Amino acid sequence: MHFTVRALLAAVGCALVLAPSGCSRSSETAGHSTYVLMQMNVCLSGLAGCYDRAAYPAVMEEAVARIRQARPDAITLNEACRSDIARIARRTGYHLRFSRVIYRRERLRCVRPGGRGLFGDAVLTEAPIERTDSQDFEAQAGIERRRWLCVTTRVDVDVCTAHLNTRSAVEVAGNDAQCVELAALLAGRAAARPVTFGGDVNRRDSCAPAGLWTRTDSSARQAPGLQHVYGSRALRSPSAEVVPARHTDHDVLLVRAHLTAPE
Amino acid sequence: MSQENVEAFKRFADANNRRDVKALLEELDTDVEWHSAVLSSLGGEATVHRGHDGVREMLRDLYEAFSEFQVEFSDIRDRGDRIVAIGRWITRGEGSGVEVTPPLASVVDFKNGKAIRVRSYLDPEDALVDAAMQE
Repeated sequence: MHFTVRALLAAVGCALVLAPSGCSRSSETAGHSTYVLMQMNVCLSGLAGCYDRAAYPAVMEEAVARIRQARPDAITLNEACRSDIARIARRTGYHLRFSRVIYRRERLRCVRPGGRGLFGDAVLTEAPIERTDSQDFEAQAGIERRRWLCVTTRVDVDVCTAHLNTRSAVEVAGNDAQCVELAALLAGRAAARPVTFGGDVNRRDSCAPAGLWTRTDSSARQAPGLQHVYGSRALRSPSAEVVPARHTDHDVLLVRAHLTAPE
Repeated sequence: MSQENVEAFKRFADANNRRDVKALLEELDTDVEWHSAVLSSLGGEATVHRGHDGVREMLRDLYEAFSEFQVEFSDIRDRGDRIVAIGRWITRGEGSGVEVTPPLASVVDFKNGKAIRVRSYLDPEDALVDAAMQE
């Protein structure tokens, strides 16, 4: 049903506006549509070293511009601030779910400027969100409690994100264990419906379970190989594009795949 | 002089716990370098905060970001012009109000009774190793 309605809307919209970039989102042909996921680490805390480059609010403008340009079906965001992401969602017309992280055992407020809400991860989706799950990983290292966040959308695709521990001496064990947990999480969800993941996994080796493909930002100029996108079998023929980002310390990872119709 | 450094370090920690930036800066050399474990663990490039202005800016951000930023050092080791302090952050669990205490360690180098370099660590073992390597 979704495919029929969406195909019609896409066709009418494209015919009316004649804007190829605007028609790329979930554009459909017989039996499948293009599903686009954008992964961004936006370094918004106001505390990290990368924030000097953010030149706030330039980082926000850059994020909005990238989203408007690519019109992805979903955007996964790490190192985000709740109010900033809500503003991005409003300006771009996406649905939002946010998951705060616990830092030094308390919620971390974004600063410089303040009033931007709590620090955490987010998922934006073009389709309405029907269900949200979020949980701390069992394994933790360092002083930030790492979490995963997944949403189920009305187009029957699960979109997940996480920002795993780093590979520093203090956190490497956490990174390895969280990678295993993430694989189990995605495998479980993929058994039920198409699933895609975008996140900063702070490692070059994939955390995707068997049966899911991996694309990374290995060609990025900044921190190459640490942002990953995974997808299940229903999302076929994935292709990755790395879009340079000026105001954060990770480039944007954009992955397009063909979403096949349920049989 | 080394016992004076220990006392200066205690005043420095107390000033932090009161969020008394002026008193804290009095214990720092004007050319101080501060390597913060909290900020480096947030990712991005490692940031070194230099001088009183850099430290003042860093503390403003940290105090704004965290509702509590108190420290407690149970083990302060006198190494001449260097102090190695091992302790904990004092924080409250989200919503519960329960006090929890992640570990923290600092290695502080002194010059003429003022801290010239402050390095903090999330793992006390790292502090001990770093302090030993630089002796």
